[in-house]
Amino acid sequence: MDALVLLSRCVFLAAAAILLVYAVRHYLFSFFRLKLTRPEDYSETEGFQLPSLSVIVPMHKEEAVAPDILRALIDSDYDPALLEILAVNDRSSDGTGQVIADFAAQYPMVRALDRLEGRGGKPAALKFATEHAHGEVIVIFDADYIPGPAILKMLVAPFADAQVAAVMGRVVPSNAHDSLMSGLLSLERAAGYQVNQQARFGLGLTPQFGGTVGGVRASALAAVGGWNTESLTEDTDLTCRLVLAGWRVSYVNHAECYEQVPQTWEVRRAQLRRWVIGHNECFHRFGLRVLRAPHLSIPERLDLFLVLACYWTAPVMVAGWVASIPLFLSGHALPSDAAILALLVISCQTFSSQATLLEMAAACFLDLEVARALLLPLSLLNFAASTGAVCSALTTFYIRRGRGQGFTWDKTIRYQTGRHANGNGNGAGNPGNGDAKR
Amino acid sequence: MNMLASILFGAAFLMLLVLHLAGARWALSHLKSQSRNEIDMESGRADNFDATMVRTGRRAADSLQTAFHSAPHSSSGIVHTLADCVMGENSTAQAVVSEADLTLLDGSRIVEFADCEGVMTLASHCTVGGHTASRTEIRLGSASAPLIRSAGGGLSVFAPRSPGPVLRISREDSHPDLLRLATDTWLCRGDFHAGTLILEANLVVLGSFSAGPESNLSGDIRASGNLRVAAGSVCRGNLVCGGDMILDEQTRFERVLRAGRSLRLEQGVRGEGPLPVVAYANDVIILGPDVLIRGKVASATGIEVRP
Repeated sequence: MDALVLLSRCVFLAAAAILLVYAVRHYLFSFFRLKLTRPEDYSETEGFQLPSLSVIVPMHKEEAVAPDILRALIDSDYDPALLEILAVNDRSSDGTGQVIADFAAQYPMVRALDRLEGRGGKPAALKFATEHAHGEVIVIFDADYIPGPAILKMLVAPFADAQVAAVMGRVVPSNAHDSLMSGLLSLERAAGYQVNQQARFGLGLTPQFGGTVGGVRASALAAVGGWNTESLTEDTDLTCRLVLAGWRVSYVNHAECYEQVPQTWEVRRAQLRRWVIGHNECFHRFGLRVLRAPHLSIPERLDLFLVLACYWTAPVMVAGWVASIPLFLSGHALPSDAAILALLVISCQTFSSQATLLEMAAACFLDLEVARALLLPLSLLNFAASTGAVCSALTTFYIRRGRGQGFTWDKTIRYQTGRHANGNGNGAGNPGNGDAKR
Repeated sequence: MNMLASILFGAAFLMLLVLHLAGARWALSHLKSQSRNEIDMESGRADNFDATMVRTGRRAADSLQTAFHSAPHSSSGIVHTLADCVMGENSTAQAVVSEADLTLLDGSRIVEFADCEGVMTLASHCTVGGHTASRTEIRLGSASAPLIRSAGGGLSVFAPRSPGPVLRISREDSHPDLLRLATDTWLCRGDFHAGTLILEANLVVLGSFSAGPESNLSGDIRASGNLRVAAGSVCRGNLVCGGDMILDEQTRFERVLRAGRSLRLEQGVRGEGPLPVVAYANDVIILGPDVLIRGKVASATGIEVRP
């Protein structure tokens, strides 16, 4: 019995300590952004740095949305002589290929690429398209996004810095009002980009390249071995390989593009599963190498390690909760009442599903989205549900890994079916677009 | 008593829950019907500034329809005119936006930014705390357009020297101290100081960088510390550094300069290329005499012109 109590106490304290580290990190980011200092950005040099550009749009059964994004890219204000649009028909069984072919016939800058067989998933499509790309910089958009006319110039501006290998823009949910789930996810996304990514960039840490609404330097991509088609999160995988090789990742907060976030819990759970498994793969592959990387500063190493381990916070928290039960039932006092309170507070404050309540509130403030802040108390629902889904996904990961089984790419369900249902991508008049950032 | 307390607590909890749900419902419906004032994303002034204070769309509610001439030593908030605007001597304004010409007379001070569609003329001892932008031309003293140019300061002090040993770094061959980062990029894990340098690849320096006189820098350079390019050089690539940047006399740059701290362009530096160029610094930009830039000069702190 004593051994169980001792074990429970150790687990409890370890969980509280780990979660405290995350809490401090998130609070630091929030306060950094709430200082309202001008964020680090490249807006002053936008339009002056115009490398040759390949825009890749992987499309798997995207007949409904393909015309919108292709039209939007054609209408971009980027110099057409420097721009090629690689529209990849990725093993589609619908009319995606025909839509792409029609555009390619009409606009020379659009190149139709047909990928008829091979491994499924976005990384494989990206690898296929990259082999056909000629640009110095490759920019990627998912098919259901509608980029604004100025976003390409925004995204390539940081490449004036020879050390920048990848650039990430801001993804903004356009369907925040469609369901409670999408409203809560819009809070999480806003915190993730407006606060977390921007703070990491401003503090000299590593923002994460997200695999869409972002660009990568072609020579850097080739130097680190290209896209990892085995990974479910090829973006995190690439971020780690670039940083370990000595490159930097940049973030452009005002390069906004709109996405449709999951509106139902089933879709959200599938998306979360892919992220958790892919992220955890990267954690195993790069975690120790990141900690040992001599060219990175200690804060850079720690932060990137914490990013890679972020989904572990859910089981750690559950372990802390479970450990408190035997302590309670055995009649032994917990380490202290303050510690119980700390764990509960840290759990809720830290997560609310991968973003602290303070981060989400800060994002609402910075985006001037005060109304959305009223959803904050309900983010605990998302937190509770996500915690279960993350634990389940991690369990699946280790079971399949133990059996030597691989993982398959699950495409996130699209809700968009009509033209321009996804906003104009230019920061104007779109709910939840954060167009009046401070 | 305990029963009563429990009932009260339960009722309060339920009420709180109902309030939260009602608030969430209101928030969702509000988000659905929400429409925002548009801001001009091309202006690049969204950060740290509530743009709707100045413009609703492209017009402020209190725009002045006629020419505006503030009195000397006067002080005002945000000035937005649809016609010409003249800020009187030693006057102060929070920000000035003119849809026509803008003139800041001696000693006038703009706290936030100055922006105009037409010609902007800055007299002596003017201060603009933030962006200074014109769609047409900015005149510092007697300059011409569409370029930014400092006044002449006499003869150049630079005299071409006989070139010393030349270091050549290409995509294929480099210096022994450099590591290959990509096929077109080399990495130096420390300071890099060279005499005359011919650079045909990108170079990342995790320290300070300097190149000797009459260097020819075709690749991009990124130095985490200071960066200095000696006189008579040509920079065809982008130059980015985390510290101070100095381009010595008669150096020519053709693309982007971005300094993490100050940027100093010495006498006769020319910024012109196939496309407009840009020189940006987080700290002050110091323009020596006879500097000519066809493009844009921007500083988060201020620009000084030194004779």
